[in-house]
Amino acid sequence: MKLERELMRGAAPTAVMQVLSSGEKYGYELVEALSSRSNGLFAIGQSTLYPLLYNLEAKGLVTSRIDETGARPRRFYRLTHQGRRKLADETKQWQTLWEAFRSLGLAGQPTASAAGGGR
Amino acid sequence: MTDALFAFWHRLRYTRLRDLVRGRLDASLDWQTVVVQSNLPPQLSAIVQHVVGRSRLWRREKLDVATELVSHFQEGLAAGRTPAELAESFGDPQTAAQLIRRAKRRGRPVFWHAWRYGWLGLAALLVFYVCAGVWMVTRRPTIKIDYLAVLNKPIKEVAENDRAWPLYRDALLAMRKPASQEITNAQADPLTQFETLDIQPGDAKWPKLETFLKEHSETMTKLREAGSRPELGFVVSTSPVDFAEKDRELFGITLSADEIERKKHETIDDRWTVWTRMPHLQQLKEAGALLAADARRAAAAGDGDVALADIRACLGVSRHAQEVPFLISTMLADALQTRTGDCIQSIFTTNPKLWSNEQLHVLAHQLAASAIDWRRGFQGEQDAFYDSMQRVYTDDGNGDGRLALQVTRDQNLFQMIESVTGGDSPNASMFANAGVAFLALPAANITIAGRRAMTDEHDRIADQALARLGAPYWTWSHEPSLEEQVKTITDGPISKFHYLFVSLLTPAYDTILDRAVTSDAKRDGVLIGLALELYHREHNKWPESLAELSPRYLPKLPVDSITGKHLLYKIVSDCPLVYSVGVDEKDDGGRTAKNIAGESHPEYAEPKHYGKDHEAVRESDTKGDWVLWSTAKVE
Repeated sequence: MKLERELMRGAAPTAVMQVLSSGEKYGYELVEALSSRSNGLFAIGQSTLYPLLYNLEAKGLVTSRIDETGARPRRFYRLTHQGRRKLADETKQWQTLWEAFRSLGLAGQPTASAAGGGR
Repeated sequence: MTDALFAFWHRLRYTRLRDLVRGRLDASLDWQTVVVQSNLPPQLSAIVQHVVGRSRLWRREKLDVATELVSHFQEGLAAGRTPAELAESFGDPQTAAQLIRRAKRRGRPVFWHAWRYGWLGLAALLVFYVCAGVWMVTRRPTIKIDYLAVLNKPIKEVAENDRAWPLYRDALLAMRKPASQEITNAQADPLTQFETLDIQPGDAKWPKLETFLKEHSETMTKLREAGSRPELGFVVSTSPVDFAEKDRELFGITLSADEIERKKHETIDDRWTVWTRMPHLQQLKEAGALLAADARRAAAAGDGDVALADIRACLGVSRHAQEVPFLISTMLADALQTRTGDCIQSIFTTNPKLWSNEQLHVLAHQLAASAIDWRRGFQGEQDAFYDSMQRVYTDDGNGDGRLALQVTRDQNLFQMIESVTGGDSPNASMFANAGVAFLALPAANITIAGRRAMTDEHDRIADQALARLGAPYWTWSHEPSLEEQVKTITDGPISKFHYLFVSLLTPAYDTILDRAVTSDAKRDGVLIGLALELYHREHNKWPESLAELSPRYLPKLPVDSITGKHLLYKIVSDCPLVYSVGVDEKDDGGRTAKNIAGESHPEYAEPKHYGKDHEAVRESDTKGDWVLWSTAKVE
């Protein structure tokens, strides 16, 4: 299932920060983790992911470093303190939204995978 | 050679500055080399080239993005995905380039954003400025009143037989030799042989002047007749083409083809009141000087009738000079009247019995009716200001407006201002360039006050001047000067432009007000002198006090214009001395003011707003009394 563009625009940054909350990752690794842990819902193209990462970096929510020790140089991204606070705030908002939808009968009980499982 | 240069330039462009300083041209910022050396499949390499090439980022940013994208694709290939899969999952490269550009720019330093927004702000301001300029340029002034025509209307209505000007002109022209190739206009004028006509009987140059006056007795007769006519009747204009041929001959004006051509296309836009030409004033000045000199000649010869006729004609010339209502005319009238008063006094000093009682009464009555109309001159200057305002500003119908660009057919606003302030000639001015003038107009409208504010400020000062004109000197002599007020509002790099037209077009009110007071007081002095003489003839002695002169010899006794109290009077060597205490307000017994060298300077005691550095103010013992009438020698 593909999300509507506007929904993706609002949800994707939170999803990326949530994946990074478990540890720093480089670009390709992040793409794979997003796709696998969201059952393919957040299989966003790299043409969108990298600009998203650069935006988060410009806002100070993530920071990056280059690791040239491996076979090829990799830029690792991780959450900053500010990013963690932002993620906590957005998580609360999504949960509140989820509760409201549930009250309206739009959503059933959240499944284990959708609630952040797969870590 | 060319390839080597190109290669060198390429390495130079893509080398970090710190490496360049160390002499290492390693082109480490060359992101395309990174892509080439990555050995990605062409499909993926093309994606990276497209995204990074279209991103329009800084070189370092491009290198970072290229390195990251290459690494990403290499990871994907290493994970077993095909180039086609990786290409498909990447998304639209064009969109990626735009999004990456936007995101990377967000992450740039604060100073870059400030620089960027600063330039954007400047650009927006420039666009607004140009639009404002376009709007302002399209607005034109509306000339509602032809002040010059209003000024000339009563003059044009004067009957031919009542006009004095033709007689003045013919009299002065008759004195001259015809100008020719051998004789210039200056040489044709016989008056040029005299440095001044204020030569007294007994002076070394007096015989020459006396001979001259006798030789031109017909001229003098005509001048006397002119002085007796009720009106002057000279129509002024902004163009010499409007003057009669004989007038131009007298003025020494030769018309150029340019002037004639310009006149043909003249409109009301060109007839600025402040550009009114009054060459006749110089001729009136000469006529007055000739008549005064002839009065002295006649008095020295014992001819009281001719001397009186000359004096009365002098007063007529003074009256005629005021016909055109500008302060320059009024000041000439005042100067002529003052000279006449001095002439009367000098005649009384040498020959007090020259005139009969009846002649003294006639003279006194004419002098009493010859007050200088300073208010008329003030009004003329105000009209000239309002005329200028209606020509440089638009009219919003509520008394306000903005500066317009084109103020005459040939000149824009800035050229006009420069020509008034003595700057470059209009064609040499940088504002002759239409683009420069266009760009300066919005700034001028921001800096210079609008029409209403400018007019209000002008009126505020002018109203004070008029109020002082109608009030005794001692009620306002210690108040702040009007010129200081103008200086205050125009002092400063910006404020000097804010009320620019007030500073340019406001007359020197303080000086003129002082002259008005001085003029009236001197006239009063002569009237008192005539009354004293009449008293002396009847009683064979001088009065004990000036109060005895009123009302029989003097309807109303003038007061000291400095203090408002009685004028002072004493007899010195059997001659009357009438004086004011002067600006120091101390009675010095009629002693005139002197400078530090002991030289007499009677004018130091007259009402004047001297600056604090003036000689008269600096020296402690230079004050004296203001003598208004004296036929005796004083210290």
